[in-house]
Amino acid sequence: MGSTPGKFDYLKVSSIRDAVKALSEVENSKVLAGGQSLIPLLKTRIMTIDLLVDIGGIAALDSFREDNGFIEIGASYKVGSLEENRSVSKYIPALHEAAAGIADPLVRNMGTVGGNLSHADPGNDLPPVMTALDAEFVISGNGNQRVEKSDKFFQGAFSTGLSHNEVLTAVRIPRNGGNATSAFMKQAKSSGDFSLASVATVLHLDDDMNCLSSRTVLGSIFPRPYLMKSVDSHLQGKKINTGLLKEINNIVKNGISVESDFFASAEYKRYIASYLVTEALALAYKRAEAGLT
Amino acid sequence: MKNVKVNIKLNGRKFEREVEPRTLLLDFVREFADLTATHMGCDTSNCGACTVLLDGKPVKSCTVLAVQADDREVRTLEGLGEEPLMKRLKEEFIEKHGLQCGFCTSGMLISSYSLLRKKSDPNEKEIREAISGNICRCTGYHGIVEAVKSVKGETAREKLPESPELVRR
Repeated sequence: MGSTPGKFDYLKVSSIRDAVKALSEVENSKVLAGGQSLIPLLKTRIMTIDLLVDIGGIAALDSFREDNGFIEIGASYKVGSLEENRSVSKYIPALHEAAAGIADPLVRNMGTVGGNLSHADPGNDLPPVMTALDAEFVISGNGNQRVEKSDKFFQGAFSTGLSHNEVLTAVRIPRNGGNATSAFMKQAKSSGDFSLASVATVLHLDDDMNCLSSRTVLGSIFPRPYLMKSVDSHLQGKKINTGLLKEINNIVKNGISVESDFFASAEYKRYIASYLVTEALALAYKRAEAGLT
Repeated sequence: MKNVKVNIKLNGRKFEREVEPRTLLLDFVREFADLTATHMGCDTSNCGACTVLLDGKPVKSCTVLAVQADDREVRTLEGLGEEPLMKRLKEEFIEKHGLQCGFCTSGMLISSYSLLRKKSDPNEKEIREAISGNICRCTGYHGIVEAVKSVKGETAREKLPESPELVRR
């Protein structure tokens, strides 16, 4: 038999209200979405719980909605569906690239967008992309709903702004008007592994291909997604070319303070972060030049 | 801790059982339904030997709880035996040395099968991507990729067959 989690009670809810109620009543309870991060934790008994609240039966959460102002992705929308979504690959290539690089196809068929974000593993790939896209996190709690941005949502490694009895129900991505382009790149030890470093960038360009504004975010290097303001301010008003990318490379390499750990040396982290930033910027810019976005 | 009733359409036939909520789908299939083509390999969501189809999509049954499959359809390799596309895949796995010890094979077959159902003419990159959640220590993957390539272009039967006799008690 497979490694079995410790004993827990199980409740399948049909509404967010019931989920919040159950979470409020039992202190040591946990939300089950796809389970691709939670079940391994339960199986290894790194985590033991008294109650598992399964939101998988709330059909409305498995949704993808395009509106005038934004795209809303339900928390139970599968990573695999995101990967195959034509609208995403066409208009938000960074999000498609991140989704397509998470674990493997089998895990992506179960894993959800909300789970990937709420678990807030620094090695996860959706947190930096959602940060670069300036997404809003829609949170339901006891009788109220609130909306937060990435800087409030991600608080540290495996730590979010969600209270124990709150559930992330959706993320809203503002629609990029006009000349917007994006890219995501990551480095992992092997295919399907957690990222050692990742970069998501969203560029807004004017008609002459100058950078109007940008959001470039470093993932995995720090406990939470890191918006590189020094990079974005350096890009402003400029065209992206080899010279500028060299400058950006130096800004990243000298601008981040990292420590060696089990996975990589500080030197390697600086190297790979600066490399990924320049490559992602070049890719996003190339996309804009080719008119792909 | 209360047991819960789980009702799964397993290989085309209703299979109901009261289980502890912590029961893995892998154990439900192997221990309760006695369907042992689904293997336990790494038990850590890495190797894919435990791959089954859940509502037609391949997933790792060691990282799915049986309760998550309640009221849904699960297909194991036993339940795909009569499928012409699966038969062809098996022939080519043998022909192209797509297996040696056979431990990963059920997972490899299900992942390849579901790729071919989605796309009848995949290129090598797509084949390698589709089996990237399945680990094989014998073949170096070359034989598996060659086997899937030889089946491409052929179409799958739309509806999966009913095969109730394959669920033993």
